[in-house]
Amino acid sequence: MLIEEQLVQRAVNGDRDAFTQIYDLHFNKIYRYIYVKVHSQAEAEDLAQDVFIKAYEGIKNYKWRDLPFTAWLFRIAHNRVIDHIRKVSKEKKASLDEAGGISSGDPVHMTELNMEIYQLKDALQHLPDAQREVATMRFISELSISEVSLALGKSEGTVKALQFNAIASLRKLLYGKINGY
Amino acid sequence: MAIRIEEAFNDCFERLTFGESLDSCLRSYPEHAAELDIMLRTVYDVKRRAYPIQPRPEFKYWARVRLQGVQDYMSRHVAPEKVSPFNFRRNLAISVAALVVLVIASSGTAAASNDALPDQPLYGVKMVVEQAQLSLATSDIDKAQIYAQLADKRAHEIEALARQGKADYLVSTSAKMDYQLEQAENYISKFQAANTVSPAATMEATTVETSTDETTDQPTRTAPATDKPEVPPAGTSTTDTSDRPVWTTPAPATTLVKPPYTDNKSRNEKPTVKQPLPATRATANVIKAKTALNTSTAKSLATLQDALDKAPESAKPAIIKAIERVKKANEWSQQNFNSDQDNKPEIIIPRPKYIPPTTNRLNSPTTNTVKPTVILPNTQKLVPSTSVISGTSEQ
Repeated sequence: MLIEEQLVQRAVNGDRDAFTQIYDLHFNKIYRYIYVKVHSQAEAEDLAQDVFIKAYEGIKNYKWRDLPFTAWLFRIAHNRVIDHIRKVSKEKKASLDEAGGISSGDPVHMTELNMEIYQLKDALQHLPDAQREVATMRFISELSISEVSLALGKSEGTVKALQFNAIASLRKLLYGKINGY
Repeated sequence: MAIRIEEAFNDCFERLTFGESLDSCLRSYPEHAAELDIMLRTVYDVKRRAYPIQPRPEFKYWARVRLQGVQDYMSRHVAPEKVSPFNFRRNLAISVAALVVLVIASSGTAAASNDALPDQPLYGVKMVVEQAQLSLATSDIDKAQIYAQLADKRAHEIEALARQGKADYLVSTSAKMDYQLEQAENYISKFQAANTVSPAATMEATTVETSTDETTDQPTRTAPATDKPEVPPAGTSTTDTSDRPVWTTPAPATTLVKPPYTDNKSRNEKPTVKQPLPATRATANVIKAKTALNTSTAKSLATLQDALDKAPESAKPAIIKAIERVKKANEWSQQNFNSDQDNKPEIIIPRPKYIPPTTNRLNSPTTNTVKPTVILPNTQKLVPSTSVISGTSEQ
C-alpha cells in the first residue's frame, strides 16, 4: 500500500492528524486549480477551504478502490467551482486587478508576474471546457494522466488528446496575442 | 507503427517532469521533433506562469485551523444516521434488542435490577434494559416519553443515593438525568419541527374560531345582525349540546368560510380551507409526549426536594443543580403544554367548526348566560345572539 493510500485510510478511520497531513499535501494543488478558474484570490481561498471541509465531511464514506483520493478531491473541487461559477459569475471576465494577489518585493516584477498570470487565465478561459479542465489539472495542478482521467471520468487516451489540443490552443492564444497575430 | 503525436507529447512531458532534457526526449521522436519542441516549450511557459500561483501562507495556516475547528465540531455533533424502516441492520438491531429484553425480563434479572443504584452490580443490567427500550422505540414521540421516564428514574436514584449518603455517584447520575431530559425535549422539538406542530400551527388547524385584532391583540367581535354570514351548503348543519353552536360540513373540509366579523379586514379575508386531520394527530402526539415529560418532571421535582432534605451537605450542590435542571424541563413542558392545551383536540377535530366568540374571547360577562342562536341551514343564516355581538357590533 502506498504512503498516501495509508494516510487516506487513516483519515477514513477518523484520524484527524492524517486528514491534516492530506490537507498540507494537497491544498496548494487545489488552490491553483481553483485560482485559474475564478476571478479573485479571495474566492479561490474560500473555495479551496470549502473543498477540504466537504472532503472531511465525506471522507467517512470514501473508498480508495472506487477512486484514487486525488481524483476524488479534484472532483469535489470541480463541482464546487461549477456551483460557485453558476452562482456568481454570469460570465464576468477576469480583470487584471482581480488576477492580482501575487506579491513580491519588486513592484515591476510583481506587475510582470500578475500580467503573465492574467494572460494565462484569460487564455484558459478561451479553451473549450474539456481542454481547460485537462490543462488545468495536468499543467497547473500537476496531476498524473491517470488521476486526471479518473477525476474527469475520461479515458487516458482522451485525456492525452485533450492535453495536446489544449497546449496547441494555448500556444496560439498566448503567443498569438503577444506577437500580434 | 508510428506513435501518435499525443502519445509522444505525453511521454516527453512525463520524462521532462522527471528531469530528462528536451533534446534527449526529442531524439526519441524524430518524426514529431519539430512540433513537439514547440509544444513542450509552451508547456514549460504555462508552468512557469502558473508557478507563482500559491496560496498565501497565512491563509493556508488559518484555513487549517478552521478545518480543525470543523473537525472538533463534527466530532461533537455526530449527525444521526438516517435509516430506512426496511433497513436490515436496524431491523436486526431491533430484533436483538427485543431478544435481550425478553431474555433479561424473563430471567427476573431485569426486575431485580430495576432498583439498582449506580454502585451496584445490577446497575449495568438496568442500563442495558433501558438502552433496549430506547432501541425499540420507533418514533420520536415514543423516544421522548421513554427519555422522560428514564430521567425520572435517575431522580429516584439521586434520592436513594442521597438517602444512603452515597454522594460519589450523584454528579454522574445527575449528568445522566440532564442528558435524558435534554433528549426528551429534543425529540419533542424535532417531532414538532418535522410535523410543523406549534401553537401557531395548531391555531391554524382550528381554522375559524377567532380572528385577532392586531391593534389590541384581542379577538375581534361578531357581526351585526344585518351582515349575513356565509353558510355551508344546505343540509349540512347541526348544533351540538354545548354552549357553543357548531355547524359542520361533511368531510372533506373544503367549504369552510370565515364567520362574519365586523371589521373590514376580517370580512375581506378569504375563506380559509384547512385539512386539520394530520395536525390533529401530530398535536395529540406532542401533547402526549409533553404530558409525559410534565408528569415525570413534576414527580422528579418532588423526589429531588425530598432528596435535598435528606442529603449530606456535600451532596446538596449536585442535588440543587439537578432540581434546577428538572424545573427548567418542567417549565418547558408546562409552557408548551399549556399553549397546546389551549388549541387542542376537541376543537381540532377532523370536521371544521364555527365557534362564535365566547366569554373568554370577548371578556364579556354577559355571554356567560346567553346561548348564541344558530339558524339552521334551511334558512341559510347564522345569527349570533345580540348579547354576544353587543360587545362590539353595537358600539
